[in-house]
Amino acid sequence: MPTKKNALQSSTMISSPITAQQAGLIRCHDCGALTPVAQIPPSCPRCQSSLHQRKPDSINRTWALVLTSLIIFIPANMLPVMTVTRFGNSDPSTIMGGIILLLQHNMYPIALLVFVASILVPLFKLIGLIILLLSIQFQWLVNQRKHTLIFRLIAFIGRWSMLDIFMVSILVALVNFGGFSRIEAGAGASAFACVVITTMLAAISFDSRLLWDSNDHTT
Amino acid sequence: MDTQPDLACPACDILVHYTPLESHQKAVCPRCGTHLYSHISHSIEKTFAISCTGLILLIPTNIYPVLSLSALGQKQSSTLLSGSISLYQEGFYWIALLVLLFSIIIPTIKLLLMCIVSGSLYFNTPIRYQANYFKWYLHLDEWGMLEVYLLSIIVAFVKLQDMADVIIGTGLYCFIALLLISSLLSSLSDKYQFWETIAQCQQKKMLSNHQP
Repeated sequence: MPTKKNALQSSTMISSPITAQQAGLIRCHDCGALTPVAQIPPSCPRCQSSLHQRKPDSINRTWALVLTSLIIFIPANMLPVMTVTRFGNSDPSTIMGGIILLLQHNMYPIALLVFVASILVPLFKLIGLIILLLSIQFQWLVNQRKHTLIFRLIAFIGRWSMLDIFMVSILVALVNFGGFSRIEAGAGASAFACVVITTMLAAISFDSRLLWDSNDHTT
Repeated sequence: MDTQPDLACPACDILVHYTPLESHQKAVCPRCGTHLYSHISHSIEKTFAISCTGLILLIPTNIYPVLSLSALGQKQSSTLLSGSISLYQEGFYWIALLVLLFSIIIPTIKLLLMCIVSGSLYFNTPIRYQANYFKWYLHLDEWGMLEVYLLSIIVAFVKLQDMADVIIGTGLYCFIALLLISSLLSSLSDKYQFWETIAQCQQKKMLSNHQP
């Protein structure tokens, strides 16, 4: 009797260890239906999406988006994300500045949270995607299972970087007491939002099946 | 005997036989470990009920203040919308739009789409663009960021505590309920079952169109 919540994973599930591509089938990106390559017109009979064996231009698009976000990552960290004004004194703070301020107020868990979400996650995503792209382009011998896991992690964590942007929007709305104290957004927030969006789009345009393709062709 | 494999892994393209599962089991790809499908009993009914609840919850979530701040004898309340409005007034149109999209518009559209799709499947009535609605729901799934927003509310709450008195509003409780609803929605919607039912529904429509 299998225990509940266990994962069904047995070798009997694989009918034959070949990929859909080798079998002459195309998996629909949207609904997962399998269609023979010869299908004309090349659209999914179930959901009418256009069919592609792999995501079109996956590597080029991912490279373009990764490089874009790498460039925007610089102003996102240099420019202030918000400006706190207290009794006439303006105090612009960048993302790192905000984290240091939290540390000075002994709010270590929150400081760690913001550091992970706004600095570590974008960096991990960008470095991770670059490694995955390079390993495909130069056909490095890698543990594909591990790389697929890294990709899944990258796709999952991307959205959490919006934390800082949402926080700025809440603070801007709440702290608005005229001349006494107010918080305004800064240009860094726009740049940072762009970094989050471009890295998320990069993860979407990346096709993890390309990681397995070189292996499938040689064996 | 049917030897045609039923599905391919979205992450590594290996062909896999569809094996019926028991409740709370999930199937993972034997080659790369990606989650393939799971069996959720009465998925369509559950999804329909939950999305209706979510649509009702949207109203109090957007009306009541989420956080209030009182300092120097003044009180300032903020609802979900007011963050975007303040950013818009300061001239940050781009972030105002993004915050509005990710925290309100996309979660609302997701609930609406799911309500339409699961409702039409529940009542077994084929509607136009049924497959498209579900497709859009799946594409938008990643862009609704209610849980990230909740975390940033918590961070803002902690940050403001040494500055002034922060009061939690009714809106926050509604927001948490809405967040639970939206995560239940994605965990209880059995995508495989949905697509199969949509295909059956469309087939029924085709047959009825051909009859004189």
